[in-house]
Amino acid sequence: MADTVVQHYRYVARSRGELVDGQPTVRLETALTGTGDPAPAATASGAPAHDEYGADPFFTGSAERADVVAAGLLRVAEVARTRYYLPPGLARRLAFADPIITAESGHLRFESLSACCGVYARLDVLPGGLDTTRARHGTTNIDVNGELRALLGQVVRTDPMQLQVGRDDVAVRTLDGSAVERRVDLPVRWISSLGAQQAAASRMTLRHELDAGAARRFVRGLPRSSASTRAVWASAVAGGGLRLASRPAAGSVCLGGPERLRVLEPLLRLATGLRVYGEAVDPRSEPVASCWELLLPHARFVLGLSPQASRGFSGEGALLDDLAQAHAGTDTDSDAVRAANGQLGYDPAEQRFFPRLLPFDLRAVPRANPRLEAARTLAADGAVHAVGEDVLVRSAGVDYAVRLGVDDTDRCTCAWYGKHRGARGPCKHVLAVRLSSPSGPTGGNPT
Amino acid sequence: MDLVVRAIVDDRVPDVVAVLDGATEAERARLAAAIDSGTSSWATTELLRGTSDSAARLAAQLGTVPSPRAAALAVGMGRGSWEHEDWLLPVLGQRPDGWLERFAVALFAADDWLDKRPRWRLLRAMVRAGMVAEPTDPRYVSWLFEAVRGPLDQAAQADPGLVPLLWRAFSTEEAGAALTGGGGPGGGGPRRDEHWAGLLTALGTGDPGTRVRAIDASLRALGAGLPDRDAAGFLALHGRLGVTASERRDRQYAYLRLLAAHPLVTVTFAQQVLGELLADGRLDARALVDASADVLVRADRKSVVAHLALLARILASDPALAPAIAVVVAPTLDPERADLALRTARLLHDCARHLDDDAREGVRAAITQALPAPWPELRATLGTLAPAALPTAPARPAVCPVPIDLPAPEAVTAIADVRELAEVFAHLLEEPAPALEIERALEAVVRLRAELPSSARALSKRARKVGESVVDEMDLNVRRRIADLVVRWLDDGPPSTQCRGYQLHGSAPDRASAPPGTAVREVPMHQNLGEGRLAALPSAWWWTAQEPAWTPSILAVARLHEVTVTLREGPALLLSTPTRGDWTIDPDEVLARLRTVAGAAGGRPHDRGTALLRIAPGDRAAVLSAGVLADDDDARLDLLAQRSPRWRRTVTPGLGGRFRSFAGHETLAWLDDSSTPGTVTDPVRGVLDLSSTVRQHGSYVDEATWEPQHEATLGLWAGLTPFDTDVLAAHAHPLLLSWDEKPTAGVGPLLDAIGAASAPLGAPSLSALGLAAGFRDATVRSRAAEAIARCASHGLLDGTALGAQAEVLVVEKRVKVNRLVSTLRDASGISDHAAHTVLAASARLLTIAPTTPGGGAIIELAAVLAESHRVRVPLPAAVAALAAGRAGTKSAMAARRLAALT
Repeated sequence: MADTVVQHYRYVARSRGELVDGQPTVRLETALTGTGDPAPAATASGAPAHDEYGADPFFTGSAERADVVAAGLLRVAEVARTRYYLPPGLARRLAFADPIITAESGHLRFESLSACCGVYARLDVLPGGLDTTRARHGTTNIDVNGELRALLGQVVRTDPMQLQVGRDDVAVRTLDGSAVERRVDLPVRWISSLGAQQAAASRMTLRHELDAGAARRFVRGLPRSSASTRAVWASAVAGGGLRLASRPAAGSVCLGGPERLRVLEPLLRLATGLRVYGEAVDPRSEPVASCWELLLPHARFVLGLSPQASRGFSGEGALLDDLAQAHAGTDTDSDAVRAANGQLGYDPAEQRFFPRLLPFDLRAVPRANPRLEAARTLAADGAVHAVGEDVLVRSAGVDYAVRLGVDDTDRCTCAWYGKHRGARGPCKHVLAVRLSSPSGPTGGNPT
Repeated sequence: MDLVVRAIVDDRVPDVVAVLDGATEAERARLAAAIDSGTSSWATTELLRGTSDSAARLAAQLGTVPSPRAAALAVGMGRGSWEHEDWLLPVLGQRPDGWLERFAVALFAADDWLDKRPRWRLLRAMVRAGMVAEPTDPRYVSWLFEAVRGPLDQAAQADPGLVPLLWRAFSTEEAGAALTGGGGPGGGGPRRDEHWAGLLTALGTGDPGTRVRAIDASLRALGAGLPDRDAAGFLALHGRLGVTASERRDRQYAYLRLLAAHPLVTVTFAQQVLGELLADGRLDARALVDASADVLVRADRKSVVAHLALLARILASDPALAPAIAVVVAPTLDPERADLALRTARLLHDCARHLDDDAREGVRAAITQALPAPWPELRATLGTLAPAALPTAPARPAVCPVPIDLPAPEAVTAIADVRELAEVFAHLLEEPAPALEIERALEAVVRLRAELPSSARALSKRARKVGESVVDEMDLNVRRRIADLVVRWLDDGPPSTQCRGYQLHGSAPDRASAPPGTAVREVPMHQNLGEGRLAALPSAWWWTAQEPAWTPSILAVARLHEVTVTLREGPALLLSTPTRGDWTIDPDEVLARLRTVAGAAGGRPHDRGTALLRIAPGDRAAVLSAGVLADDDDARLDLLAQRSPRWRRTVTPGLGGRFRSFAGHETLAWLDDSSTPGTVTDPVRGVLDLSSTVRQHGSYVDEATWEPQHEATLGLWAGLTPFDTDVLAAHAHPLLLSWDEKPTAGVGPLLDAIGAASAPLGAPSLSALGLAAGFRDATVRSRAAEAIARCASHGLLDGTALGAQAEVLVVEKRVKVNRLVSTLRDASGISDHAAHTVLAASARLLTIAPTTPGGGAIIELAAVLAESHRVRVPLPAAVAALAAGRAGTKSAMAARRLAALT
């Protein structure tokens, strides 16, 4: 099966902008279509093709703080073009995806995921920072090219930024094919990481809140490099602020690959505070994902980090339990399934999911959850069998012993489980046992 | 194939093209295999010897290899295309379009260490020939500056399509760096004057309009958020454009925008230009004030100091801007940047007299929020803008908080059954687990050895694979030993090899010169004369020997070997399994075990010795008086009970490691003059004998360097010395001295063990903490801080003694001051106990601070801690002298803060 999905980015023209008497005007071009299929041909009358959302611009209006939007969008674009971890011996393959924009509930959200699948960035421009003339719900890709980045770098705090996202009528009328086209072979794990990140975020709660000064001191004190498999833990210190601890403790937040948090550094000059989100941990916890939310005037910049620099979000198994349940039942429209298919984003500040229809059809993406697929195969092949009190799963010619619900965990004697011990979700053998259980995939050993 | 080979040997590219013309892809693939050095026949290899750099060889590869990526690698590795890319186009033209597209992408994707120049040149030739579309990859632009031959203006004349690429450089990552030659090997970028001239000519800056375009483009590039390494290149380019004063005035808002840029060089440049405009009276000073907030919160000190000076000049020339300046400056006061805070306070003081009451109140509120408790000198400088004074307790001599009792150690839970044991071994085979987990597994495998888990076959298979795959250079790998143990248990495999010391290697000019008693082998040497001819050279003589050793790693691994023997030969239980999480064994339990095995060969030597080491000091007398120990164990336990170490710090030439042909280097060691020589069969005397830290210093470092997952072995060290942290620390010194600059240094388990001490730390432990505090690896420094804090909280760490050890290390230049201070500061934030301990340590370090580079940070740390805890610190004469002066240095300001408390 293929490990990549071909993504065609087609834009009528390049995103562009200009400064007129110091006032910025930015036009962000959106993709004609976000699916893996080529754009539909022009109609017989010669009228230009329309995208899935119609010909109307995605958003027109103005942003209150031009400098905040410009600086945040630059960071989002930077993350999209960066690989923070390069496996040893792997040639650098630049399969960079374009950032995504979502308009919903008065928010404009610009998102991206790094090429290594371990850093997620999102600029949320809040309703208070937007003066909307026209907007429609939905998600699409945007072109953030070098020339536009150069313009955004010039924007300072002046009058509001005029912002148009999407094609204008003139451009549609003169369309005779895509002006800008780029093909990207996106790894499947990139797509599933984008879906899995928000599942991890939804389990987090606010752990720390820093003022601007403490935020600056903490970020600037981060190491500039670390071992890709190392994680440190941000713990509170007396007098406010955070320190990097070597081990987890109650209240601390995992910071894998701490140098990655320096993505926030260029935004610190605008920040009014920093909020840190994480899961509940104790001294025995394994590294987990985290969310770092920089508070900006009328905006928030959210940075999601995988547990370690060498790990993407897709391998964390965050959704496997839910997907296994959904598979056994008919709940194909559960939040879990929708999340796995990239149809939901999560806002930790507002503690809610938001609809974000990714411009990929994950149901058509092969191997989005290879572990679950392998488990289904094992279960279907009758590999799960009981011997006395033991439940065994035959795989690669040997039997692995699985025990469910031991001290609230499931265990297996396979090498994968031995390495990760549940920190990345269940192994395929545990999943196979659950799928084979007469009580369903919620647990219980098969008879 | 013969025709292709002949064409390659004759280095005739047109012949290669002609031979391949019309060949199918399948035929080409067969030819590729036939001429590839890895798959070709010996005869072909011999024929093609010496052709790897020829254009014809490369042409043949490009015309035949199926994989575009392999073809791209060939371009990057060979020199065949450096001058002849046009010759290669015909053979590339024979390949299908899809292959060419992927080849174009692969030219970028090939490894970075491969030369970019031939790759770019070939790609450019293909683009010019219309064979592939112009890439959108930014490296197509940035590599241009290295790859183009000769001056750019001449290249652009020959290839006008380069000009648009040059303009794209202004918005392309890495292009700026390439301009200054920072982009790669050979550095072909325009660093010399003629190259810059060529670039400007190619851009067309001779035309006034184009020149203006270039000026604006370079300014945009500087503010475009490109990586910092690009800034220098665009700055240099901007500087070469001869921007006039009036052009700068017209663009002052563009320069103002650069104040928000990230690279320091960009901000410094902008400040310089704006300062010149200010001097000429051409600057919109209000706009500069409004743009100042971005600079004043920068991490670097230089730009902040420069900007405060700029604002002071503005204030002097236009006092009406005082309110705007004060509003921008006040919130940037940072108590952790004391010297900058003082400069900022001086500027605010100068603003104050131009503020009305309302403005003054607003500024005071902002200052109070940023810095609610300014120290006396700062308060005096702020004058009427200073926050309202809060009542503070008078400073008094330091009083340490009452120590917290050591926590009761958790009980170690035995593994319940063979199913759980299988799960634990599955984990130990994959990951370096905590040492106590290994102990649980050892205990359980001896106890349950007659039972087999249902997953035995899978586990055994995995264990064999692990055992075969681990590269165990020094026979000390814990993971491999565990794999051997599992195979022994499940498959009746052989016991693991017994390790009694270190393998040494060396060379000698002849057999007679090799050290006596070593195994010597002759290694024939030859010189390759080409064409299959070899010339004999004098043989090399290599010797190997095993040097007996009883370092903690050797002892730990010897015990693992012993358990594999115990599995088959008994006894049926281990004496040394801890019952508590602090490695101790409950005295009743140890007596019961001793009685059980007394009749069964009395237990094995490493098991017995390790058990003795794990009897808590307070329980030793009870065990001795029970009379169940054999005579020699009695003597060993008595040795532990009566031990009174006499620590001696020595700086000595340390001996090299495995390869004794290499000389050792000077090392620091802690020796106990009260110890007796050890042996490999006696863990008690072995671990207490610290002479190995000198005699086998290099071997300590070698094992950590060559053994995978060595942290797992270090974790077992703690189990040998649970009550003798100083012994552990002394053994740790070879590593701590050698690994301080490693980006990732796996010494964490040693620091954790020191932090878990249950007795006051002696000099070796304090020295170890001092060394770890200066490590480059921030994780190590963090663990050192945590160890300091933990010991301080339990009253086990004398801060003054820590400072004394740190002082010696600083004087001997074994630790960097800034890292040491950073670690101490980190520790002080963990708890009140740690803060007082660190204050005592920094007070001790004050004696050397004034004369040590970077010592101002020590004085500042002491001042901050003393102020926050209202502690009077006695000042050494040199510090008192600094305090008495009015110097503006960091050291002097901090000294005055300390003096204000006395």
